[in-house]
Amino acid sequence: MKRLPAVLALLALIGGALVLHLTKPSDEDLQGPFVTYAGFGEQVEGRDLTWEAEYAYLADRLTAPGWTGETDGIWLVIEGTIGSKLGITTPDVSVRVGERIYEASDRPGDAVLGDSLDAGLPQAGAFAFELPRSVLESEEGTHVTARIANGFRVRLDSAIDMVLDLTQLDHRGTAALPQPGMATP
Amino acid sequence: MAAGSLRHRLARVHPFVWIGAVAVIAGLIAWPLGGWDTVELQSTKLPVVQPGELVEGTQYSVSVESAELTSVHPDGFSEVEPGWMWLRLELVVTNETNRTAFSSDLGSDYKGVVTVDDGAVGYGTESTGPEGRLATGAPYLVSDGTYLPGLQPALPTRVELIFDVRDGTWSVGDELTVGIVDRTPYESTLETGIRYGFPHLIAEVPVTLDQGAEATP
Repeated sequence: MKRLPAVLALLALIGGALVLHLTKPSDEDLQGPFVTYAGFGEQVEGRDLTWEAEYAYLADRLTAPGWTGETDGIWLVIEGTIGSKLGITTPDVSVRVGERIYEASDRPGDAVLGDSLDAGLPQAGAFAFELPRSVLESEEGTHVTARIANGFRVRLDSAIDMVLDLTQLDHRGTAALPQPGMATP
Repeated sequence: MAAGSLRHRLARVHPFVWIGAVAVIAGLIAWPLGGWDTVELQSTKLPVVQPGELVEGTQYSVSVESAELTSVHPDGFSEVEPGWMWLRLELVVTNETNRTAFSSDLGSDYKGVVTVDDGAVGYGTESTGPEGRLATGAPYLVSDGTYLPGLQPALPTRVELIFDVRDGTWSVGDELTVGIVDRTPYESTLETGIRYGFPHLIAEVPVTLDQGAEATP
């Protein structure tokens, strides 16, 4: 009977340890990015980048002066304005479809955003992503996350995310990419 | 008593004699069957697939489409050095990983996905190009000529690898053997994520070398 308090204390300690173990932050919580979510037509800011999405659509073929982008997959195009707040930077832009991460394509060359940005001089244009057609028929295609950040593995830094449902986007046969340029205020 | 004496007699036989007896009996059994080591293990045989057939890999799935000798470079301006030609190898490559991969290593000596004639060019090569550097294959997208195209996950991508080869290395009509190299994923210890290592051949593709475009003087 004299041991009862000790046994109860031991059980309480084990229970406490279990609760701590089950509620401890994951690696993602400890090292993941601070995410700002963006919609269309609203400017959002991260620590170092700004972004305003205007429009997103799908296309079977893209064109730009001197270039035609054929693909066995499908193009996802996101038009908008991106800016740097602090200094010269080259943002990393990708979309996540399920477990897969697709970097913005550099096939269109100068016809897409993605070059370095000067602080305070936002650029308007488009990012283009080349995806397999199968994503349009998959459940994953209804919840695609576009991410704009500095670097492709963001740790304890800000990131701007946009969630898209590919099945709800306009689907064009051929689309002309807008020429990137300085954004007009 | 008789059994006991037999056991004692057998016990006096030297172990080497037993070993020799077993070897002789095994040899007598194997002899009519054709001897030892005459069976080729299926697990060590490399599949031979035809051009255009997909070889499924862990890191990349690859289909070898064609091979040709050419003096016209896909960049539209490079001129072939005297005494040299370009080997143009056309592949359809599918990135089986979860992240966009860069094609810069597809034709390299240490991360390449193909090896032509057992390392003449591609993975494992020690050949050098006209500038004395390792003759690694430069990747271009076939559809629009993009140099170093990104390889998007699960999206078959038609690329051409351009290798510098000395005149006379091969002739049109030769049969090349293109080995497909795959790698095994493992958890990275220096950084987070999956890396691919331990290269190994998973198939061989015999390809007849065609005549490609020739530069006009």
